[in-house]
Amino acid sequence: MSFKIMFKRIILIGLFVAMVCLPIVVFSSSQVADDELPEIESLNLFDETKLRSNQFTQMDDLRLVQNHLTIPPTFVLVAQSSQYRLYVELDNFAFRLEHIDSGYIRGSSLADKDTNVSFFNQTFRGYLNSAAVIEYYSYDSLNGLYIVKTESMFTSSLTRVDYELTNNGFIATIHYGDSKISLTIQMYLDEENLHVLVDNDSIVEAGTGLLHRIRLYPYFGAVLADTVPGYMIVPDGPGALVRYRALNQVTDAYSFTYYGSDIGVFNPIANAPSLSLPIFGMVHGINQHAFLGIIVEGASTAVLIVNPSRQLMRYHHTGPEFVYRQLYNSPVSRASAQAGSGRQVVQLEKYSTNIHIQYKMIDGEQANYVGMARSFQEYAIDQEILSVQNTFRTDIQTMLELIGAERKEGFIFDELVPLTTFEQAKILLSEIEEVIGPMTIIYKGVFQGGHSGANHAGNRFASILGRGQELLDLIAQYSSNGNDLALYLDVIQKYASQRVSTYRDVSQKVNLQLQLSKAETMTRYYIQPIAAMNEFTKLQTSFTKQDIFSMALGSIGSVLYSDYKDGMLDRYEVEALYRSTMEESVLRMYYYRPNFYLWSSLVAYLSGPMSTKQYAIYTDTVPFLSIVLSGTMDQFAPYFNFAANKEETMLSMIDFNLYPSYILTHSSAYALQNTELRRIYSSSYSTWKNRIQDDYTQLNTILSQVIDQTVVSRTMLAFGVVKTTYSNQVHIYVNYTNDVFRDGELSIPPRSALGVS
Amino acid sequence: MMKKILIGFLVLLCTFPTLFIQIQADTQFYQDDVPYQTFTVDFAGKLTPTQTAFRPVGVFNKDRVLNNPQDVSIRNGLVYVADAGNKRIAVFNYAGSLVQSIGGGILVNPQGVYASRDGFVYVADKGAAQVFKFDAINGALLQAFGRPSEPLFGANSVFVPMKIAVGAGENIYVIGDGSTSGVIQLNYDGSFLGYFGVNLSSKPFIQRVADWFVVTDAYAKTTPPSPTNIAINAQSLVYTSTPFTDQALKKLDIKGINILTTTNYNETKNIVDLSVNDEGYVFAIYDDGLVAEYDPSGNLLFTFNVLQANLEILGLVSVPSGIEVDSDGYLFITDSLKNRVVVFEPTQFNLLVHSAINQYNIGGYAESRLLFEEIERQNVNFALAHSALGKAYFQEGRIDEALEQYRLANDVGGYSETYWKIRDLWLKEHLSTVFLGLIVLIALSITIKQLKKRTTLFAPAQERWSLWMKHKVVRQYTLLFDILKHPMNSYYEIKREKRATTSSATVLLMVMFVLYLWMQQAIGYLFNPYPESINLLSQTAIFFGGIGLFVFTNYLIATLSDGEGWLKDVYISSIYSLAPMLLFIIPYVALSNITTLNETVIIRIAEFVMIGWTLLLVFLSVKEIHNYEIMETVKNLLMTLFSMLIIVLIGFILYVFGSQLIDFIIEWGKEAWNRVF
Repeated sequence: MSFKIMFKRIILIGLFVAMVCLPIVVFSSSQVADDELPEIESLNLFDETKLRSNQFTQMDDLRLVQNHLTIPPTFVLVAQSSQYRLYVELDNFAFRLEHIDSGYIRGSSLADKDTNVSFFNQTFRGYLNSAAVIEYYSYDSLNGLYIVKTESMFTSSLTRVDYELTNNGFIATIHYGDSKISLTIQMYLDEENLHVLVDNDSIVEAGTGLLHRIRLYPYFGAVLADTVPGYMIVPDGPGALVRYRALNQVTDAYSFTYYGSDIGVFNPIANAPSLSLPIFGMVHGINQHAFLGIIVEGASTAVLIVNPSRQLMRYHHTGPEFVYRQLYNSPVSRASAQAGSGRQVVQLEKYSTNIHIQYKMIDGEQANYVGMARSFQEYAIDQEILSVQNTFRTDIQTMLELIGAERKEGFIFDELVPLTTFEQAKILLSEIEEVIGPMTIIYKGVFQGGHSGANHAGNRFASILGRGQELLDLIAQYSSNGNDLALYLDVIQKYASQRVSTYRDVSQKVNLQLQLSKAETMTRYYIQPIAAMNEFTKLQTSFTKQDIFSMALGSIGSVLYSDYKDGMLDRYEVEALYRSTMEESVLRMYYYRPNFYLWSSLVAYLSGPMSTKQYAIYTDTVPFLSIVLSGTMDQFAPYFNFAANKEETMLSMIDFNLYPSYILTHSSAYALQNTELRRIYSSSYSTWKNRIQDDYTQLNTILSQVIDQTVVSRTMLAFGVVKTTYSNQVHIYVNYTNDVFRDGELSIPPRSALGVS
Repeated sequence: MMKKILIGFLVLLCTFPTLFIQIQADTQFYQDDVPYQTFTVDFAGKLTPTQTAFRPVGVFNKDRVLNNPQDVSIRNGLVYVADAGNKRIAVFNYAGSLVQSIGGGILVNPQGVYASRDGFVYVADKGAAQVFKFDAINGALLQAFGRPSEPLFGANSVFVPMKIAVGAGENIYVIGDGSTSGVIQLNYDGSFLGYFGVNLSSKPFIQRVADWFVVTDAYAKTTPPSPTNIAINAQSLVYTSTPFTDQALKKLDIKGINILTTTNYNETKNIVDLSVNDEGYVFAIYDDGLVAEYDPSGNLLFTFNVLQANLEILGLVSVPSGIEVDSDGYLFITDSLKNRVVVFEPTQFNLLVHSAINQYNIGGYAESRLLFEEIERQNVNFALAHSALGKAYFQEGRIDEALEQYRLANDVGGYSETYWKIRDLWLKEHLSTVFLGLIVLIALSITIKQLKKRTTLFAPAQERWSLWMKHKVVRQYTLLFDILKHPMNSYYEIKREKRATTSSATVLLMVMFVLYLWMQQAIGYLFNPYPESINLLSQTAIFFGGIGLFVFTNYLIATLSDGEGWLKDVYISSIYSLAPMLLFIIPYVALSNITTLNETVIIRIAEFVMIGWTLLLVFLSVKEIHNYEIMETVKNLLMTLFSMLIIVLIGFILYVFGSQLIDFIIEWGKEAWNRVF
């Protein structure tokens, strides 16, 4: 009997063990190999794909990096600071920079110029070892075409270099043998900064070759496949990382234009990234060694090269190329003008860009994207572009964009649809003021003609919205206690309905076609930069007379184009024009997603990007931009009205420290059908009122703890779990996953955020 | 090399700029978390921007083991991909790791794959011209079916399996390449059951004309288009795609009849693959990268375009080859060029729309109302939500709100029904008043008549009235009424007695123009649900140009064919012929505003009478003014019409040539300028 019972028990125990183990075995076999996520109980498999995609920040590979460069005897010491020693190879000006404490060596080439470097053929070795590589247009009279030729310092035996050493660097003039182009490079070491400059006046084209672009030290920091842990940074949207991957993981190289592509020369392209910061950078060993390249001058005509490790070019490298001329199509018929084709022509006049790159070396704990962002913030504060914010507020700001009136094409006459009258705005704001903190209010479409029909020069308020005095009273009421009310205008892009003279006001492209774009219902023109700035100055005078001191300018922040009407005004000049006009302005200025050159006159950052363009070459999305701006000004997220994933968007806003913004009207958005603003499909205040309050409460609980604070560090605790530490030692945890995250005492519920001081 | 690529990239930008142009509106920053804009259908049946419905999650197969994936099927947490280039079915788990490889050494060119509920994997192999059945667990080959031998299959029919789906009871549906007879339906043992869901052939107009003359129907034979893809839902109902037909997407009942009745969107596009989830939502991908989601009734819910040929961006594909939806609503799209499977997750907004529709479809109008109100809050242009709200309010007896919602959705049927109800209620309430009013009116008119007869009370007024009616100017306009009663006499009066003048005709023309414009705005909503925004200039041109052209041409023809009328006569009589329109437009418009779709026939009769009467008057006017016989009148009118056509044609040709000439001169000048300077 006992034997029988034993037998039964053994069978039962066996079955039990099998039942318990089987699912575990099955489950573990279906999981991916790495088991570095012990904290998370069970991971939704889709979270895994999603959180490991380039829409989120990835886990860092903290391996230690070894020196992979040496200083060959051909290099001589030319400068030394407290931290670094600069060595230069004197006939080609390749350099080595040695960090004295750690002995880590960075360099622009991989060995001395006479050494064969594997994977580089002779031409590429020429590029590798040259301080400057140029591309120029050469006319091939046989085919009637321009050909782009590349010349390094080793291409022609006739190339000659004159140089002199200075006390902290050198000045070298290169005379290229083939193209007969010459230019002068200046390099100097200033503490942890290495400066490289090319003055526009030093560029001489002595032959028939027409300069196309210049690359300076194109392979500085190059990394072979994934031999070094780390990444390159691309300032696309909030910031993207390109982690070093094995050979051929991605095979497309990119050249992204800083500040968006120039519509004066090219037609806009869909999904082109908007690089609003003039930077690039690389990390060699996370939290060990990095450099941040700042393009102090010349970003407006530069493109950023991002090259992954692939068959023909096995080194990851990144850096700017400075464009001086473009090839364009001069149309020979109306049809070809429309199609953008025609005879190929090269711009005769060269852009007037000066080049100044500042490489900021970062060694130690800060050698990562957060350190780079902090370092860039320091730079901007030094340059008096940003200033430290001390508002001492206790609640976060909310941005409300109100729409006054909009033009609608009517049966005989255009009609003006009132969406929020001054009276309605007053009631709406006083109601909402009760339930949320301070407000930044932007009032759109308040001028006669409505949003897309306003003729600004007239500067009359739309009578359909009420008396002008009502609006002025409202402005006075909301310009204190942390509130601000700005009126919206756009002097850069104007609708066809805004009485634009295509002969006088509109910019022309390099091929003398008008610069225009298709908007929702009509054409939109790009105004000549000088005319636009004149109009702005006039408006400013009339604004200040009426005691209006805040203005939101559309387009100017994110659109930069050259103008070829009556001669050439290149982007370098337009950038300077915009910057100086805005710096002189006495108004408080708001721009939408502004490029860096306008930051000096910026009050708050509107429509802060939360996603990159998600190119396959990117591995991560990081809040680089937000970290740069943290503690210097308020940053607002894009309008919350249109978010499809409310929860996740909210988490991103907490992660990036962005404040909420809404677009509101008193009437239903239904009235915006068939207007320029037809993309606003949800804006009615009565339906958004409660949501605004709820969102505010949720965000304020966490983000109010870090007002005025800068970001000190941001780390991934697990895939989808972020910890950001601010300068007041408040840690903000965001858990994007569908599972509880536990780490010792700490427990973060799924899809939620937590602020701990 | 890198430079070459960069230059190539730049050259590409210069050469194909129009392909990449994007809208530069004020709204460009509204939505940028995904590289495409999602649209839904607005009140006018047009696409309108909406919240993102699907968001890219990532590239699913990180191991990059696929080569030319052609189809994808999902069952029990495993993803089966027809890996045509590697001649196998690749099986992945949800973590994206390859866990199994089926059919190596057997498959030649697997184009379609279907993992059935019963644990089998069916493969349509184009290269082997066979259908294979594997065991899903161990991957063992269980059966292979070649071309059916049954005579019913057709002696000339070929068997080139492309896509496959399997329903309950192991009914196998095979899409054959060029199988014009329909879907090939096989039994579990591979025996041929018959063709299913055959498409109808359509004859172009020319062929129909040819049919009249050809005795045998040799010329008129057309082959119906063959279905290109297939999906099957939980109830074993089959969905097929037939590109470029007006029933591009079909849901077939067991007899093979299409039961989707709503408008088919995207009929002119080439559908690549479709998939249906357990709730009946249909997902389709088109060769131009368009992804569309239809609700169980076939309404278009969301559409977005994921194509991007040159740039490698997460969430975009180069050559879409297959689509599949899993039980959680995630979309899997295969890219046969980039060799990967891209996964999209439904957004919160999408899930909200689904739950609202699901509630609605099971009849929970009241429950769905709250959800639809939330959708409407988030997107006021979401027509489906308005339509559903209309129905929900109607059910709850909130008639006025229902009417408003139907109007917002432009749901004519619902609006008509609701309006009928409102009118019915009004009539019920006011019927007595209406009748009372009528009785009073009748009594009043009888009294007045009697008074007229028996007393001289109204004599002075009557006298003044008849004097007034004899006034020359008044008579010019009363002619309008006379024309209706005695057309022949009236035209005689126009011609001989000069009763109407050019100026009176011009006044009437202007009145007619105003009425014409007014009608387009004021006609009942039900009979003109999509009022186009009217361009005054073009309307003026069409109206006056049309009438002027007729008058002028008619006069020209008449002078050549012994017509007696002067230009002035033709002008006046033509305009007076518009009398029925002039007099009846207002009542017609009024009538159109109180009728519902049930009484459409009344409106149509009114239109018919108005237009027919006018045409008859035009005919009579030509006959009388030019003093023609019937046949002469017919001849004159036909020639007038023909000449009008010729004049328009010549005008068009002159316009085209003229602008070409101007273009040519400008281009010549520019070329010269370019070459010389």
